[in-house]
Amino acid sequence: MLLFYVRHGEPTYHPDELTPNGKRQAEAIGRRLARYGLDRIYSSTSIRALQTAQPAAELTRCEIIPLDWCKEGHAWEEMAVEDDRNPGHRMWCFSIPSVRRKLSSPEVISLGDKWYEAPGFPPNRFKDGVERINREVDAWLESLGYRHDRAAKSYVPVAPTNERIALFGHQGFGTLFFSSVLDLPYPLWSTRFDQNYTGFSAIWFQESDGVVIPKLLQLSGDAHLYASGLPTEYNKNRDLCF
Amino acid sequence: MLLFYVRHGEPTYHPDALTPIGERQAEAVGRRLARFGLDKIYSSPANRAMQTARPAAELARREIVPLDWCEEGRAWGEITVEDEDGSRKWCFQVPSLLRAFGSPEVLSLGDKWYEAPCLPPNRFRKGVERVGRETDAFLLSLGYRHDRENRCYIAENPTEERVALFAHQGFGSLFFSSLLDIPYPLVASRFDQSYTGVTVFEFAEHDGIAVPRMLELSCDAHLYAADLPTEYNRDLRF
Repeated sequence: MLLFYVRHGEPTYHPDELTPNGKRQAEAIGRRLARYGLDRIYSSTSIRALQTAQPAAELTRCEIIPLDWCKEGHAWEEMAVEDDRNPGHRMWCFSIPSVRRKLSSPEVISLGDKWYEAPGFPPNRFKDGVERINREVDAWLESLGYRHDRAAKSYVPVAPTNERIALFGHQGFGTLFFSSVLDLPYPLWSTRFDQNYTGFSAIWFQESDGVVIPKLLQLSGDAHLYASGLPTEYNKNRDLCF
Repeated sequence: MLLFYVRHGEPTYHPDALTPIGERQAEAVGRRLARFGLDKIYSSPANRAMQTARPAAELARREIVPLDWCEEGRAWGEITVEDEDGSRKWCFQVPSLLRAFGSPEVLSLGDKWYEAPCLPPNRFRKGVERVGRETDAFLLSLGYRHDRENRCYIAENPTEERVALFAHQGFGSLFFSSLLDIPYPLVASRFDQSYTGVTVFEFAEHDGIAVPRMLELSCDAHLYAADLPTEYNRDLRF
């Protein structure tokens, strides 16, 4: 199985929808995915994610299957904390410099899967977020044919397929999702990896000797933007254009 | 600083050169990198890496600075093992080793993972230590001092420069693990790069500290836009 993860296009968060550029990005990623071929399309139930999935669904004639657990609002409740630079306001834990440093620190990393028990984090619901996503990811991947063996950090291919599956989701939810699917500690994943609007990631579930260790073959690729002449700036940051 | 890591194009390993497709990939990635500007270009001295770097160097009008420690032959001597059939393979191509790399027995040892008794005879430690040392010296020369204990960098002389490094798959697994402070068994078993895949690391500074982030892994935009095959190492097409 090949699993394609796509973050939604450039949004206006209020109201929840794509900007004109975001719609162009969605059209471009839809054409790219249709070229590769898709067997199934899943999406977060947010409008910006569903709008991003729409062109791919039309071009491949697949229905979009909505997944409520992939919605960004749930992840926000769990992984956003008060920003010490701006009291009273919340921000993603991985976007606040002091929390980023804390997440990388030996006292957090040394706790392994129980990293969220380290003292000194602002009040948070990290544990709820990690446990909820682990549970949902495992149930979802089992429905696709792969049973997660978390102790061994691998999967048992109970019904392996050659299908190509797309999931349209978000940045914050994505940090939990990738860390969970790949069995990489959340503090390392969330501080060291990121995704751009309609960034395309590919995870390969390849079986060998009855075991699957999924491999990340691409993270946040922007081939569809580059090839369509759309801006390749990183999350609207003009200084980060590449 | 933005650091672009580029694996060489499709090669013939004997002799060490690019195939006709590999040459087209090199031209395409050179145009992509030159379009956004490059301040410095480094490369493994292996011919397939130097050939991949050449179009970028010509288009950006930069010299290629060869780095001997990035050569794949050295990594080959350190992170390959003998397979059951007697041939040598990269550790990340041996299924039993990949499983061991995810086991609590290996991962619970932290930085000393290579001492796990379940691993076959190997020179993993030498590779991890050598590339760790060289990567730290390289990044220090670019302005960032590695603080390994705190898994971050002290931005001693932060820059807005764009730096490209052309190198390899096996060496790259050691380099990524060292640069990002992620245990090697996790990087080797869970990440890969295709020919001329572009991987982007951002060193953004806050309060004198930089925690580098990977913004793209093995991106193939230059291949897609140039109508070249977008295969994953000749194994898988997407």
